[in-house]
Amino acid sequence: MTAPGPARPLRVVVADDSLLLREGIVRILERAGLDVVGVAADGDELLAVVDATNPDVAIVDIRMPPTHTDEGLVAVRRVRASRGTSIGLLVLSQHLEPAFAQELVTDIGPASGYLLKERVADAGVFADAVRRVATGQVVIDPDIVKRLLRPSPRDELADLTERERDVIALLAEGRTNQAIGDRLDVATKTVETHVNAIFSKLGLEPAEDDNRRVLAVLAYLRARTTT
Amino acid sequence: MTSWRRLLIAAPVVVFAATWPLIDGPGFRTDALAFITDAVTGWILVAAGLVTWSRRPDSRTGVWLVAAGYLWYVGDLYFVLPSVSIVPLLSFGLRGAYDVLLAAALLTFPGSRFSRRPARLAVLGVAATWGARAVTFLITARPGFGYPDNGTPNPFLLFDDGALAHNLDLDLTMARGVAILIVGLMAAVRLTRVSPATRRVLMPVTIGGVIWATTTFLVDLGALVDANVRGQLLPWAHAAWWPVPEYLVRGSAAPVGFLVGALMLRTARSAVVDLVTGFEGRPLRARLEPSLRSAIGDPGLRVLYPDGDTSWSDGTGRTAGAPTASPGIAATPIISHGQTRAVLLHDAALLEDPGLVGAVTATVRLAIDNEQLTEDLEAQLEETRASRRRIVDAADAERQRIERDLHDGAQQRLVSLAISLRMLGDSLGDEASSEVRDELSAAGTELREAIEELRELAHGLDPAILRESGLGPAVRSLAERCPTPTRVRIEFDGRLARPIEATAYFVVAEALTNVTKHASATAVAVSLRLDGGHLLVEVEDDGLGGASAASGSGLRGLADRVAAAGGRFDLGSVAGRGTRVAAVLPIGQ
Repeated sequence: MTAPGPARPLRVVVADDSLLLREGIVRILERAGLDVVGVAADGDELLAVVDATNPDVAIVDIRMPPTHTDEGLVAVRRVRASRGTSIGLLVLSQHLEPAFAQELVTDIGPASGYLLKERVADAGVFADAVRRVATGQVVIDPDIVKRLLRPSPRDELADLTERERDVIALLAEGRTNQAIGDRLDVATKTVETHVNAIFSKLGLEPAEDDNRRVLAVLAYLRARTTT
Repeated sequence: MTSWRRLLIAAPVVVFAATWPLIDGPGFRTDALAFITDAVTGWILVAAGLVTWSRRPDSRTGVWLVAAGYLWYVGDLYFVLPSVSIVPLLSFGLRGAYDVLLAAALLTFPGSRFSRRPARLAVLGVAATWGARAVTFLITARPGFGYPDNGTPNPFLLFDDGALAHNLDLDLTMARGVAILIVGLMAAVRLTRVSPATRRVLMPVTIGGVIWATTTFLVDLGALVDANVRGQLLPWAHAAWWPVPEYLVRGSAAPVGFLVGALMLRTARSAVVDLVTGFEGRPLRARLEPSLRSAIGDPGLRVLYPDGDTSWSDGTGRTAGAPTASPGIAATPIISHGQTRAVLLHDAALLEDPGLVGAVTATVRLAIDNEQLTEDLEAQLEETRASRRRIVDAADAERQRIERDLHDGAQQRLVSLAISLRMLGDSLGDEASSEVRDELSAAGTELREAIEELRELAHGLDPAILRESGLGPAVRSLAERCPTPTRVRIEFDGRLARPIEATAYFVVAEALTNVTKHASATAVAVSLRLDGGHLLVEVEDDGLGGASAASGSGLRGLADRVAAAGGRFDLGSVAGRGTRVAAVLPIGQ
């Protein structure tokens, strides 16, 4: 993974079959200071462009021709298989489905993300997600995390304090302790304390790796609806 | 049994009970066994006649047998009224009249038609010899010779010649014996010619009849030759251990045979009952022939069905020749609504009982009509089911199309618009007034809400997760969306046929929507499991209950949709005890 230096902007490619949207995404990214080095309208083009430009991040629409189902996912898997974690893969989807997000991050591993498509209009959040994926983090759309943080029939989340709930939401989005600390305006040490408390209250194995933390939290939250 | 038939059968018993003390004929009071046998013999004939009459109302045989039973008692009149006028003369002169009717019944039972001309002649022979002997007796018999003298002279006496009278009586009696023997032989021959079904009931009748004919002949022959010979001809009838007189042997054998045979006759009603019972189960065509065979006792019976205009097939579907009547075999068509639906090939002897044939054909027609109606109904039902499935499939396809249009069209455009709005805001930068910024921000919020609504709309039409990940993940996703805490239990992996997944999904979705809207529940449990080729879907809440399919079109629509998939829908909702929605769907499609 190439560490992005301040002198060199992130190089990204965008794959979306809608020209209008693709152009809009490109403009948003460029305005956010990212270097869009290529675009693609389907999975095959994406692979070719990635091979040709060797970008830091690929932003891929989940639904592309020819079947308009999960070509984006298939393409992303192929990119991951051929280039490993040297490239961040951010999938855009119109489906607010935690299962899809979980499947993606489980499948693709670190340096991946699942964002709702309209998030691209929120330039700050979008560019931030691209940068985090580029550094190997896992990013989950906040709306998806929100959906999972509902009460359940046997609600262990009830044991969590207000602050711990804020922390677990950010944790599930894929943020690091430090990022959570910045967001909540507390010290990283305090975040660590909260995270340990959450893990112990929920009976989760403490994990060092950020991605494993995300997966653990996601799996836990989703499992609450199933017995 | 009608009241007059009861009267007929009770009369001999009553009369004998009443006259018992009056009987003073020579020897009778001292031989009670003979007296009772004599009385019972006549009574048995009456009974056999009445049974035949009731089971074969179209046949005259029953009437003949009843009449024969009463004529039997003619010979006993003397014992009852020995001193009254010319009663002894008539009693001795006319006795044996029942032989004529017995002969007729023997050759026709259980029908009333003589199968052959010689049979009719043989019976006429018996009648003629009986008539000749009776007339001769009346004009030649002198009181005290041939019949007991009670002081009344014979008013018919024309030839007062005792020896001539005696010889003529023996000769004519012998002639009658020969005529009866011929009838007996014909009865035995007839037994070999009837159908097995008829032979069964004719067997006891014929045995009784042959005993009657041969003993009559031998008794008459013995009387003609001399008393010693007579003893040698029927040695057992004269042995010390034999209890009844020989005339009772010859008299009672046939009545007993008739009674047994009459009791074995099947009534049309009981045949129909057997038939209807045999029709149970399907297919009818395969069952009809064996049922008919056993019900009417004709093992050779065939049932053929028309295949189109010219060809025929049997109950197993094998092609058969066109059904035609042949000697001894009758062809009875089953016609319904002007069409020949089947033809019965059966023993022609059955036609002797038109009641049975009529009842059986009517029953078979009903059964065939009924099966036809059932088949038509099932075909229509299947057509209705198929059309309902097509409607549901078409609706599903349309929903998919609309979902795709929304996703690739409106949703994309709105996101694109959101980007443009954002770019516009950025372009304006610090130059814009705070009012413009507020407007832009409000528009952005509005747009985001529109995108969310559109996404939910598209999801409701054709959820991507159902299409791509299957029923299990889709139902979990539903549970994640449901505001009421929902527990999901899924006891199978993998995908099912799309229509089944879609139906099951909509059952859960609609049930959860109802829970959210109406139930005020604190928890919902969703369960999916496979059981013997069926998918069982259950959604149970702990809410208010009292839901009914009639109260909301949603549940009604669910029931329809489940039915279209060939499944069963069940709604259990008691006020205060929550609601349980269940569907059982066949997965083998």
